[in-house]
Amino acid sequence: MTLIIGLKTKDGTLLASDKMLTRGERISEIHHKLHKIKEYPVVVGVAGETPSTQTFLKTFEYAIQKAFKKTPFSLDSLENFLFSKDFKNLGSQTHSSSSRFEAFLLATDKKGEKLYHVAPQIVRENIIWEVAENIPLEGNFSMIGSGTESGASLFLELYFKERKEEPDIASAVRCLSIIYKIVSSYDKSVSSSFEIIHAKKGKFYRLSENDVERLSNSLYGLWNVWLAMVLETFGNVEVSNNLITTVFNDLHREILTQKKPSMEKGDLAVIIDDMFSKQKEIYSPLLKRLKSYKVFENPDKMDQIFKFVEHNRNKIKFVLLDRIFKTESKSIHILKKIKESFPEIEVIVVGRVFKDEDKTEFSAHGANKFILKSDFKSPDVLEDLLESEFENFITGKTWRWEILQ
Amino acid sequence: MISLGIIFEGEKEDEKGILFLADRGILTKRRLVYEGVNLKMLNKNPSIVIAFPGVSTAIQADFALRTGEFFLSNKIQDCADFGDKLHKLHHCYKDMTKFYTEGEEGLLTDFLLGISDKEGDVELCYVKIGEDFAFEILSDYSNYGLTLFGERETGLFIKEVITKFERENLPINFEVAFELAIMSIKLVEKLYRMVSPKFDICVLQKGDVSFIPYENIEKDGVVSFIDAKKDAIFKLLFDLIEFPEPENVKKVYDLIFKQKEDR
Repeated sequence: MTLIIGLKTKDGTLLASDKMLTRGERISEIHHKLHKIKEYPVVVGVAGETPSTQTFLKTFEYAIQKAFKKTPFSLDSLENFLFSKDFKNLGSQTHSSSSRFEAFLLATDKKGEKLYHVAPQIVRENIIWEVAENIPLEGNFSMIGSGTESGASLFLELYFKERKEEPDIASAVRCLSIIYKIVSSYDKSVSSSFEIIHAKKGKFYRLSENDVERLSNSLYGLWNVWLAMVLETFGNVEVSNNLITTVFNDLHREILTQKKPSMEKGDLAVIIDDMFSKQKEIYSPLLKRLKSYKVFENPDKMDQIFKFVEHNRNKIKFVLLDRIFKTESKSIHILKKIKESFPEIEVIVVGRVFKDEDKTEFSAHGANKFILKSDFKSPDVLEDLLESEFENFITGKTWRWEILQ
Repeated sequence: MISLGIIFEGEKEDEKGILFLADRGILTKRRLVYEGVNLKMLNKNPSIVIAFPGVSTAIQADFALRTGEFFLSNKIQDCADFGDKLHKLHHCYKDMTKFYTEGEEGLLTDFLLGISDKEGDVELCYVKIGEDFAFEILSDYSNYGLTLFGERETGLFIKEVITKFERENLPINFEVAFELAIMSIKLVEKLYRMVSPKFDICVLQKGDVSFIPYENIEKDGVVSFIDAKKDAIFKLLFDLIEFPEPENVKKVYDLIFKQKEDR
């Protein structure tokens, strides 16, 4: 089962896919569902039954290599190939009437990018591969797979409805990230982990897996802040009126677009862990790198934590919160309270293990990041932790896009 | 073509009601009709309502008739009686489904059944008539139900909102259910041509039932107001996605929600 979304931005086209693989009743995750065709600037994403999708992928790869052996590749020549009888008839050679798949082909050259949709169709008892250009000819976005009806289409319809122009890449990536997180929570046939490929002027870039995962968790926090706002409007005419007036007059955008005066974050790390003394060895690589830190170990004196954070909010670099501060509910309570009052403070949840549901729960209350305690000895993790600035991350300034060869 | 039911909390503790909303879309073999009432009130004390999605209307009418007969012949007075006789209704529906599905493929229709008694108890059930018959007591595990058409999109929004209410321990009262139901249908109305812009509402509470036609709901501009709020809510979301800096998000929150307190 799959959800693959293509989306046009101001600066290139994005193709995203979840990673769910279904075998009967069992589900698992695969590494990649978006495949770059070797030596050609084409990425393929296929949704459907595994034998049909693999047959399409391999046949297409072979066909394109054969077709462009002598002809130079360009978007125009690819289009001629895709809409040719030869290509359509490949369907009758490879697929039967019971074959179920849909494919996206994202192609790019120096002129731009195009997204094509391919699906089998029965014409006079023959199977042909029917092709259509979805982006940009039909619109700014398109999607295939089982998850399309699970709210994804609704989101994107609404997202583009109000827009006069295409979104920038970072906004589009954030939108996709929220879509995958929310749709996967509703439809188990779509995984919350996903991949994003960016096509631009003949090249492809893949957003690093770490960034995708962190983004997904971070934006789930934003989604929950928004949901909290939505909740407050229910049954409250005055607040609803205020919301409508503010949003339709773009008063909120005046605030959202405000540039913050550059302000250095403090050097103070707050560590909230009832096992800190016992695990000081584990923390020691981090402690050596910190300029100053304050530890809270007593779960029965949580008020002290809030007072300290309030008093030192401008000095705090980040808060490290143990996943189980005596109990998980105490940790969530602390996280919630800090994030409600000081959303700008980065809260990093630390633990010995994290299950997906833990991450979802903590993210829902605003956790910015998750770090395994065992990773404190990793120089890369430490570097990331000490240098990290959540704002730079969430706005896309520090995302790593890897070139796809 | 879309029917939904939301269980809400009454004024007194342990009292519940159900709000049903169904648009007026009816799909016949001949054409699409936008003006049919898809909510059928069958009884009072206990009050029984069936919310149909507006397909296979003859089959739906038969199911409505047989359901009414079932409640009368079994002298069902409240939700507890209904629970005792549930197996009989299950058999009844299953037999009818066998009759209608002979030689047919796929889903014929589905519907929601709601019961409310004088004690303030409610039951919300889902019935699917097709190759894979289903009869479920939704109220055992959920506070809402939807018929299948457009269910995933509407359901995603309702589920997210209701889950958040539950997580925050906030009550889903009548006002919340009313707004949520209208907002949900407004969200998908423009996605599907088969959804009528008009809809009706039925409210079951303490064994009573009241029907609110679209004309009455819209009379004071309520629908337009909720629709505008829905647009504002989603515009806000997409603007937050565009500018997600936490500090600014907090300021926007304060701008919209703290003004009242400041005054």
